[in-house]
Amino acid sequence: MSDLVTLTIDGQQIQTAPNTLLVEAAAQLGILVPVYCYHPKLAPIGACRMCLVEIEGMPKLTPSCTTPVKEGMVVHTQNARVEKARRGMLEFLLIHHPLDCPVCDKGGECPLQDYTYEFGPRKTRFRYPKRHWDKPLQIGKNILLDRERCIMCLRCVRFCEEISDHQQIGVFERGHSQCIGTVPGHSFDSQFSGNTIELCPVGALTGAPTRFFGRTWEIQHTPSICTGCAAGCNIRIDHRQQRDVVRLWSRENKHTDDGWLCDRGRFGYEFVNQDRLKDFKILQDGQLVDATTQQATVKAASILSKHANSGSLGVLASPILTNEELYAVEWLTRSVLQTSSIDHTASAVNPQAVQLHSVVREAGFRSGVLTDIDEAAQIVTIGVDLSNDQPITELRVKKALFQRKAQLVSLYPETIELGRYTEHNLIYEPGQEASVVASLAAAVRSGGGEGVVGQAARLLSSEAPKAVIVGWKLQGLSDFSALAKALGELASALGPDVPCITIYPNCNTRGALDLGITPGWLPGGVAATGSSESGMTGIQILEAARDGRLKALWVVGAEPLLEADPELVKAALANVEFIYQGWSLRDVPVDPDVVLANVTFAEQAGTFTNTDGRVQRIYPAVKPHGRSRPGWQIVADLGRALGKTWEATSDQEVFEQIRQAVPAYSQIKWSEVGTLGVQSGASAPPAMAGATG
Amino acid sequence: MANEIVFSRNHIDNVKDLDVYVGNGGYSSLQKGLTMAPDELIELVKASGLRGRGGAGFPTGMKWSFVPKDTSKPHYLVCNADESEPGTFKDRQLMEVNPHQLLEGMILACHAIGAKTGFIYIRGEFVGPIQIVSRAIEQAYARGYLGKNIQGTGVDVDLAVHPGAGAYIWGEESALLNSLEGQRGLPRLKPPFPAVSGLYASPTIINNVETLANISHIVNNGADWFKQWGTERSAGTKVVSISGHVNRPGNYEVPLATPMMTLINEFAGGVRDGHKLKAVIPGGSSVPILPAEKCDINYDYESIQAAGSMLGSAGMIVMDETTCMVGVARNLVHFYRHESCGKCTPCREGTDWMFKILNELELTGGQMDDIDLLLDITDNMDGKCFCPLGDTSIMSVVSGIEHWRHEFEEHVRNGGCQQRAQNGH
Repeated sequence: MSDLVTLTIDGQQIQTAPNTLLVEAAAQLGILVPVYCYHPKLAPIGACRMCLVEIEGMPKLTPSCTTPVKEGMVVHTQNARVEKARRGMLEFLLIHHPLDCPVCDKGGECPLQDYTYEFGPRKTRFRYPKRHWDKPLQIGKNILLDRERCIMCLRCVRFCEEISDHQQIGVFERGHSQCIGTVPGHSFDSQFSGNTIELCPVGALTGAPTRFFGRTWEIQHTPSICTGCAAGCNIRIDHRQQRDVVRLWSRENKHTDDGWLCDRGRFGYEFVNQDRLKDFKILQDGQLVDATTQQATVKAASILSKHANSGSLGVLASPILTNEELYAVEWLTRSVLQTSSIDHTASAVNPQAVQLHSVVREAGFRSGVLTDIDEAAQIVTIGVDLSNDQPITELRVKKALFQRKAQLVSLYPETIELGRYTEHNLIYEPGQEASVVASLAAAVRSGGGEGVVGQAARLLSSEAPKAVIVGWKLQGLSDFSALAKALGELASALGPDVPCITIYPNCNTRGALDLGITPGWLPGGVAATGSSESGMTGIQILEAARDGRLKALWVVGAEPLLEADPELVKAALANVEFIYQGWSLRDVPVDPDVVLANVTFAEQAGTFTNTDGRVQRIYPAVKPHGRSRPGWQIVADLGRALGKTWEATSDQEVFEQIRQAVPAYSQIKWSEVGTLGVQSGASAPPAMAGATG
Repeated sequence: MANEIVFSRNHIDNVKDLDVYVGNGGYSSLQKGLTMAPDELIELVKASGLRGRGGAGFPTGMKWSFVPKDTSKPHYLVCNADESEPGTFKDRQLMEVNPHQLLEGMILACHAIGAKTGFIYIRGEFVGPIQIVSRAIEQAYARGYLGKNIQGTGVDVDLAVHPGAGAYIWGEESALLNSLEGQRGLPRLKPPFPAVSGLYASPTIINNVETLANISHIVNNGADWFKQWGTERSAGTKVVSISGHVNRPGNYEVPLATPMMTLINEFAGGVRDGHKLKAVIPGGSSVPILPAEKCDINYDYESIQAAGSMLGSAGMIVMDETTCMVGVARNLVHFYRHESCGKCTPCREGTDWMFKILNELELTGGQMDDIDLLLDITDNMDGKCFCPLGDTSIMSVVSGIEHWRHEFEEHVRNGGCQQRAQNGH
């Protein structure tokens, strides 16, 4: 490339792209220029003055975070003049800083500490009382503010302006009295508030739920995946010596999270620490009592074998189990127990067991992934409110809207958060989805028309690159086939190669679909035929249990139970022989006959498949509670008790079997999944259970 | 020789009224100026040598020429009437006495830079000028000097007054633009410069009141006429606000390069009775203080710079021998500490720290090494702040210690300011 710019920094020559900021060019050479207000994801403001460098020919020192490279520039970042300025700036930042590092959550990972150690003055020359503020202030559900520690880099305020556009915090007063605060009448309850804790380069913003979590140097980190929704945000589990989870932190993966987390995910780890099952249990004389692993396994196996092959057993497996656990449950259910009533959800949202990502492909869209949003100039969301359904993807859409001025068309029964940024809010009565999509398609084909639909269609009839996002709630429509047809019309109206991203509800819903935890499909999206064909969906399973048509239920993970009417769940569980396998009895309203103690995602290795079909690994962070075990090992024990041996001694071996069974995963090399995951291939299961016959 | 240009109509009774103004030759430049090509007008102002009268002294015609010609965005003219520099009070009088002169200059400037809209950002405390200029705008609209097709020339200009909300920093032009947009009034990152991307991200020229007040006279009389006053690099006249220990404080329009001692002794009536000159702040609180022995200079940009200070906003603060220079520094730093916007570290923290030290020196004496500490703090601020507010907040400290270090030392030795003790403060 000939348009590179050549410059010299500290005697080293570098060629770099035009518009690269000096601080970034220095970083490319491995030269550390200290920064506070600069952050690569925020617009530079040049406020903290830490990054001043000397450019030959310029009379004053220059902030390297706001100055782009120029051909022939000669820059010094480490001479006496720069170092004095740096020392002076640190001294200014420290004169009012409380220096309460011993009780500060940031201590040990604090750039103010680090740079003071590296560049700062060793002694204070400030002899006056320091500024004092009330502290800490709880400015939002999850956020504590310590204004004495604040160095006014404004990263938090800028995040709320530039990234989330939840402008609930701002700068108040001026000069030496200046402080961060909440906008009058608002608390800082943005669902992205937790990101400001990470952005804060000092201990001014700390997490209320994680306050005093421990000393950072005593904390260990394990890469993992957030289980809060189907985005598959990469996280770092912070734990104390593998004992308990103290904090979740972002771990940037541009395919999923783009470096951010939502508060639901960030602070939603308490289920790992609390109300945990430590032992296997059996019901004796109406009381749940601790049992040995073997006792409980034998009892569960006897219940299962009694109802095997008889159509009287139903299986519900949670969509936040790993692929390995789900694969094991599917194997035991279909291959050993000859049972076809298996599902991962008991909500009314998917009564017909639709595979939405296959529906959109058959409609003529390209299988989209979240990063397609980054390329789109026009984004169409259909039946999805990303604020609720996949918060982190809302930030990705906002980035497209704010930074690239992309345009949005929203089809939803009400105005959604993203609706603030568009005139094209197609609001409809629930149940009218198919006709709205069809009329939009027709209007796009004719290049416009009347009203909101016509305006949206005029926008969409241009050549601009597009991305469509559809949400799982569409699966619940009673006339789903009409919607599928309408999506086909929209796909053809929008033109070839438009990506469509499917938003699923849970962190491994897509994995559950790929692995056959749904009636009508086997792993790999092969349509079930013969006796397997007539399996019941989750809600049908609960109804059949209540009505006495099923005699036994095996529930792995309580999530499906939370989706159905509590009265139905209670009646169903009370009316059958009930095996519960999970990590807590908190959400189980009826004492099971057998309890099998399963670990959570934080205690095991395995994989999840995100909404895009991206397979990502998790790693064991904390030790299993009590005698709890990974689900696939419990299932292997059940198999053995039933006389069927399943050969797998590690999560990797289970994954190898999954690769054999699921064509879309066959190209995934275990060694390449690493910590950032691999996109699975496009498998082509039929879109609807009835499609093959 | 005084009151030749912008004050030339000040003696006329009620010249703020449109009829009186027009009756005395007001708005006569429009027929000529608005029928000139914009580039021609810019060249005329360039040729006149007029420099910005707000403080920085940037050549006005050159500034106008930075407006891009090939943009589809609207252009804006903004008059900076946020006069807040301590010791400076000339724009207030220019607006109070002769508001139409400002409007006439703005109409011409709008034509030169291709702007159809101009804003007059007036310091919020200037309630009188806000009312007077607003009234003048009403009159000008009513008589076709503003609005569409001004005086049949085909030029459209709309002007509006925007009252400021009370911060010194809004005199910094990019902070003023933020304030005008309804944002927090913090200075902006440059580049882009306002001429390219200013108000509402559109090309914007910001000129001081006095600068704009000169324009109609230059159009009427030509560049050479204007250059008959002053020097090659300091053309024209300057309104100097003289305050402090003089017998006749006030605004005086004088040719640039008038001797400074003439300004003090003749225009301002000399140092108050029985006292002798000790020091002068020649150009508003943001410039270094000159000791009396350096005051025998001409009052123009280059002479004052050669003497170690700046002409700045021409707010001349005269101090006699009773003045405590530690008190001066304390007072001025207190002002900057109060007015620092807080955006950048060195200004926010440095002004606070300097004030604390100066306050202690003044009240209880402090420590001897505080004096060098003060200088080191100023060094850590100098040229390192985001905008000139911080960089200039150190001037009274640096020049104070440079010329009157012994006074600072005496404060330490005496446990505070003797004069203050004598005066019973």
